[in-house]
Amino acid sequence: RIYPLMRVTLTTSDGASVTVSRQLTKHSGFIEKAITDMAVDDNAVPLSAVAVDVDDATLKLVIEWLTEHRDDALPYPEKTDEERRADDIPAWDQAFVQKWDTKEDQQQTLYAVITAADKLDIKGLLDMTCKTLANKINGKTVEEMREILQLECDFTEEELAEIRKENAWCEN
Amino acid sequence: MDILSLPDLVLRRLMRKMTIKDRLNLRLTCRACGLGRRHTHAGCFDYGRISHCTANNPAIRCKAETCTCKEWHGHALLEGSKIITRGSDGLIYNVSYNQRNRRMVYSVREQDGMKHIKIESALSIALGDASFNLLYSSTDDFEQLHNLIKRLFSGISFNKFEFKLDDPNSGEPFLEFIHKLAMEIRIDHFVFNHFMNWYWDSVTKLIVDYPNRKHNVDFESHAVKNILLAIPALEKLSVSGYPIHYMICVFPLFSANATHKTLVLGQDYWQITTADLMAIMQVVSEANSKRSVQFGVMIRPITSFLDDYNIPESAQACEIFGEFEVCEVQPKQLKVLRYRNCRIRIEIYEPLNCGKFTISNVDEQLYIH
Repeated sequence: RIYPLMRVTLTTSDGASVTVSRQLTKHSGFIEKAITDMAVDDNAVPLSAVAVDVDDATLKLVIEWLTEHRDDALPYPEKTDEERRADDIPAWDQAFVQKWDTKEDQQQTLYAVITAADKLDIKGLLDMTCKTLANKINGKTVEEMREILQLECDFTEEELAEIRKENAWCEN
Repeated sequence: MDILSLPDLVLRRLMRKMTIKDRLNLRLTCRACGLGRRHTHAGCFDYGRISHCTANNPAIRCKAETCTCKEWHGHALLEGSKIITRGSDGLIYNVSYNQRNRRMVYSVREQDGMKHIKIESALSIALGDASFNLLYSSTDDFEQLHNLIKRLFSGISFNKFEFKLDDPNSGEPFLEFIHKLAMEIRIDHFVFNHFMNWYWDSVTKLIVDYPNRKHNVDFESHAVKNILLAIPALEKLSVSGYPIHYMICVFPLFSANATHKTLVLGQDYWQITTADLMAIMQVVSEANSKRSVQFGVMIRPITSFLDDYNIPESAQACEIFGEFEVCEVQPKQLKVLRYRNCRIRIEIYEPLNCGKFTISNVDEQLYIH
């Protein structure tokens, strides 16, 4: 069932409030469960309030994505493992993510949206952002991976040699 | 926030989008990725395979007519193949083999300016998108492989994992290795190929130890009745070897405690009476889930069945003979009949004086491969 008129107020972790259509929140397993737990009468078209552990800036991005994907089929089709491809991100989603690239800390934005998608249980968004992150590092050298993921090499030479030895065994 | 602070479930999902090669590179980035959390992020793959190739693989033939290397089995001349990796006691080549580019393990020597290769006893491993080979020389190699998989891929899971054993000399250590491996990696569907009678106790133990998984067994050796009757219920049992005792009856295999969902008896030496055929049709027709059985027979049981139920050679589609309806006919080649909730496909190979029954309660199961 779709409840286009019902609106839900979301309270963010930094105290902001955003009111959105139930048509958007139906994609969030977390919000749907919260509304169900409130035992709200759907027909009464009430204004429900749900607290989400996501900051205002990130929630705005999540809502932007949800607005674009409001008509997506539910439940989200979890693909089998043979379809684990990461190169099938829709054009709108690609452009949506590329927008973040102009921001100062794109990686942080990506991590924040991934985490929000996980917390709010929005499978489509989680899947898309994981693909985006995977695409950033797939096919990259170790050095490039460190740079992209902002990781410091804290191995000793011996540890590195040991892992290279194990990896070499699998790279025949 | 960094990648390592992402929730574990997210990291698992991320790993599912990455190839094994990239994951191996990721291990080299930092200690947390390399030593700390790798085990929990192994992810899930649709397919894995470990096959133990014999040193005497008859599929590779020698192209060097003048070759005198009698001590070698299955040697071949490489022409224009590319060396990928030079191992300590073997080389790995890409060779064109049965029109598929396969990677196998060979040792190589040169004689009279020509390279001759010997197919080594080797473990060929495919884990998701990664595939590699390991020369096999002793049971220690299984231990080495087990330890490495435990270190690198613990927590990995596969929808289907195929074990293929070509080398009769290494059956027991290989099965012991499979047993250990099944404890390290999650396998939902075991597929055993090329297994022989004498390994059957070990395979049965594995099936019994993991009763909630699907098991397919492709039994390629001579079929021994007692072993076949003792096989626990499988998703699919396929017997492509000849029965060692001529004419094993199909019905006991079908009706024994082992109610295999799909039973495929490939050769044409199986025996069936008309009464047993009817009993099978009734069981299949009344089954609540998909059931199918396929077996090869000599021509006599086919003609007996058709005669006993007065289904003439000239029967046409849509004709009805007692409880049988003819659905499809190709004269002297094929009859598809319907009996209650069951379809019977009868293929006839007149020149070979044999044929094949396929009995199924679901249409798409009628053509078993």
